[in-house]
Amino acid sequence: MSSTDTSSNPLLRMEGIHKWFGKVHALEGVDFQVDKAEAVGLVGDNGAGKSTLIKVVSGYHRASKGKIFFENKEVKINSPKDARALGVETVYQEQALALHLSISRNIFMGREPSKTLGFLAKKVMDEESMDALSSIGLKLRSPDIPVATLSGGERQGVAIARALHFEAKLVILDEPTMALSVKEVQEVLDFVRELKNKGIAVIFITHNLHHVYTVSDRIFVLVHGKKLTDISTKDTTVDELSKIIVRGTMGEKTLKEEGIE
Amino acid sequence: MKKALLVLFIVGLALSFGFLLGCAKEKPAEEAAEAVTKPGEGMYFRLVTHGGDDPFWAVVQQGMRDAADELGCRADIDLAGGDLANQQKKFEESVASKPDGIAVVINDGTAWDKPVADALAAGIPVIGINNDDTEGPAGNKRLCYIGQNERRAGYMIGLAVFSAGKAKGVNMAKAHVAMAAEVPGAAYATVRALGVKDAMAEFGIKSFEMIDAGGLEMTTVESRQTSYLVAHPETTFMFGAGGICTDRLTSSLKNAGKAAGEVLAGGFDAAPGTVEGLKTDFLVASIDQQQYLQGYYAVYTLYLYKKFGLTPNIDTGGYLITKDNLGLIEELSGTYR
Amino acid sequence: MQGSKSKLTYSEGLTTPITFIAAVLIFAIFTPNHIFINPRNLGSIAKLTPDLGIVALGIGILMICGEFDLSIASVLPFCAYIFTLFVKNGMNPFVGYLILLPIGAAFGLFNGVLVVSTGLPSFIITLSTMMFWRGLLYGVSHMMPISILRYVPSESFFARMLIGQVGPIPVQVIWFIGFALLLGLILHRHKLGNWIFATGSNPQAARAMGINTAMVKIVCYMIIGVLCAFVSVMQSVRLGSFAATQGIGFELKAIAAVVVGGASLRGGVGRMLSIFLGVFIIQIVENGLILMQVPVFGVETFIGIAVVVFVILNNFLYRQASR
Repeated sequence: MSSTDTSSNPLLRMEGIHKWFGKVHALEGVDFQVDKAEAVGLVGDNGAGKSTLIKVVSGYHRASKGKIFFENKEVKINSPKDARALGVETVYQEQALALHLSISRNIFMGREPSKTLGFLAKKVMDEESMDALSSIGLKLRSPDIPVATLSGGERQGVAIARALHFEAKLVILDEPTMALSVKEVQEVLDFVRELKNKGIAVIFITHNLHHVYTVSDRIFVLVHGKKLTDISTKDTTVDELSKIIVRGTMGEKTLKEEGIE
Repeated sequence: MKKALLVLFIVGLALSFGFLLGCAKEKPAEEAAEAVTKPGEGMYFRLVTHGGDDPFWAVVQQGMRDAADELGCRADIDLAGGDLANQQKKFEESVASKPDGIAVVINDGTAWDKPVADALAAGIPVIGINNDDTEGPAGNKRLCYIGQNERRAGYMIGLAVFSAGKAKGVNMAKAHVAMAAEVPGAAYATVRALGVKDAMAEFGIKSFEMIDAGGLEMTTVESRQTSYLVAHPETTFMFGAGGICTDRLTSSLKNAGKAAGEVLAGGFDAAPGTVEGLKTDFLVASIDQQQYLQGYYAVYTLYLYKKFGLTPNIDTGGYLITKDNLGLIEELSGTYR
Repeated sequence: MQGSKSKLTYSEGLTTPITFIAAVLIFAIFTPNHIFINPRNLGSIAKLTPDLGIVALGIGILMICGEFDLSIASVLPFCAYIFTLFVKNGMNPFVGYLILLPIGAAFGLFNGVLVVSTGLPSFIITLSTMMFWRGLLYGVSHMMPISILRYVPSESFFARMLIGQVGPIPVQVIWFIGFALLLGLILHRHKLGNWIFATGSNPQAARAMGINTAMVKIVCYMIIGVLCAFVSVMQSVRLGSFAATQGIGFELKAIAAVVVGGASLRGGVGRMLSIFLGVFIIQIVENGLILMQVPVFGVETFIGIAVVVFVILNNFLYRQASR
């Protein structure tokens, strides 16, 4: 299974990543990595840079400085297409699905299988979307029902099934349990476990330490664009993590106020 | 960057617009190069109208422009688009620009009394064109009026069409008259309808209905006229209150399955469809308002007043076009008429 | 719970066909002597509805992808003017026609690029372009009508191709059906159609999935431009002239027809068949009311009521379906 951050064969390795937005230094020399079939929880308070970091991985933003290695080869990720070509799929919070469209149209959005002249291969779309759903254990009636009729947890399932279908090697989940009921949260966490079972690496961003703790192998804490700690879940508890984060966030501030650092 | 693009676009658009307008105005520039001093040089006149972007007013403007070219003066026209308040504002603006004369469409019995009187008191000559105060010179101080008597025009076309009906032996007592108007509530439609009703009285016809043709859009007008004809097979006579309704009348009659002359029809202006209708006997006659003259004589009258103090009342309207005198009209249809 | 919700959304696609059938039945039964179904009357409807209808199909597609186009009211007469000039200067009407279609597309391209590059609401942008082109057309044409009957006489093949009859059926309605089928296939069975729906339903998701939403919108605007060019010729040939008032009011009538046809003003929802029927419903209501001898000043009121009722109904179903 997985090891700690000293693995010699990581799936994704990011070295010295910096990102500036104008004068704002959003990421300050972050080193981050994920192994195959490993689930890493990316946590930190608001403005820590979690979103920015994964947007660099998924091609939404380009790193200002630093190197990215995927399967031990250096790569340049300049667009979402590049990321997807590598096998990195992102499930954005609230941004993944077009509610009015059917499940199968959503799963194949932008990557529709087609016959001659670009006409949709509907049978292929329908069959493969049902397969994708069942492979993460999601049972839905038909591929034609609009996503709007699904519950929050089911919608996340569809988004994850989409990532899975396109043979993702790494799936990034941005706040997947936000605003979900208890039952729906469990469904999503089960999907994450399924992904791991299939050997797919997962990066899980969240504010909710309880959720992420139960499925992750490691927790990576970001504070003000810098890595605070990278620790295996076996070696810590939820309470301890909270304390680390709070101290890290407050501590930085206090230290800055004192004129030190 | 986005905003810069937008600015560039707008500048580009403005330049091309200006260029095209310049092209459209080429002709007068060539003539002016002849260096002969024209009688009206240096004068500036304004026409303040309630007109809009339509063929009728386009011809008025053509008359205005031709007169201005001939006289060597400048003339501008305001088209307030049927909005009385807007038109009054334009009038005030015209007065403020101190022209050598203003020609205004007096389309309301009281609203123009004071503005015109004030302008005259300020030393600006004001004449009325196209539409006049209902009480004529007694109701408004305008120096004179140039235009068509709308009610008389309605009477003339009614007379022509009903006479044709009488000649065919139509039973006048049972006859039904329908009149399609682009804007039924507007002054032109109401007054022309009154004229038609005057003619009806002479022939003993009682039944009349006004139709809302739905505006200026050709297909809507055709569709509504057709629907009416299908719904009212008892229609004996049909009129178009304005140029667009008259233009579409022939097609509407055909759509409703009427043969030429089955329903006796007439209307106003000489738009292409109307000319065809006259040629093929679907229309008995049409009234040419000779609106070219309204623009043309407006400028000339203001010029002549400036020079000699003359204030003629000119009745420009009511030229009855029939199949027989179509010749010249057809040639000029779409340009001067 | 899932089952009942999906039944509602399926019925969303049925409101318009049901309304269409209801309208036809009501007027067939209640008009004096059933004149509504008199072949002349139906023929007239079939002949005149496609003017608005063909363009409304394009507007519907554009609204599904989340944007508006008000400029059709000016693009249509402008294209008619250009065609008239071509023909008056001796150009073969077929050639003029073929050249006009890409010109129409160019108008659409202009709109699309402006909307996409500025990011401003398309309602405002196309309102401006509508006024701009109207002003330009006024400047160059002086709004004079131009007769083209002698260049394109009604017996000529060109005219018959556009406004003739196939037996009792006006050719216009055949074109209308043809366009509806073609555009419907693209909208519902083609990749581009999926991109159009995705762009309208959730543009961020679409972009995240690699769909070029800017290009999709521009393509939709260009489709409308081509349709405007097509209808402008069809209409001018039928009128026998260029009339500066062609197309006035189309911009709002098209939106009304599309809304009656079940598309959402917010984008992401719509069906080609329903849009097609929506145009007819408005026309049928207008025609039927006049046939029933409703006081003619009241026709506009009824059409207004009908549109409002439909918007409320569609809104209700839309909210039931999403949540």
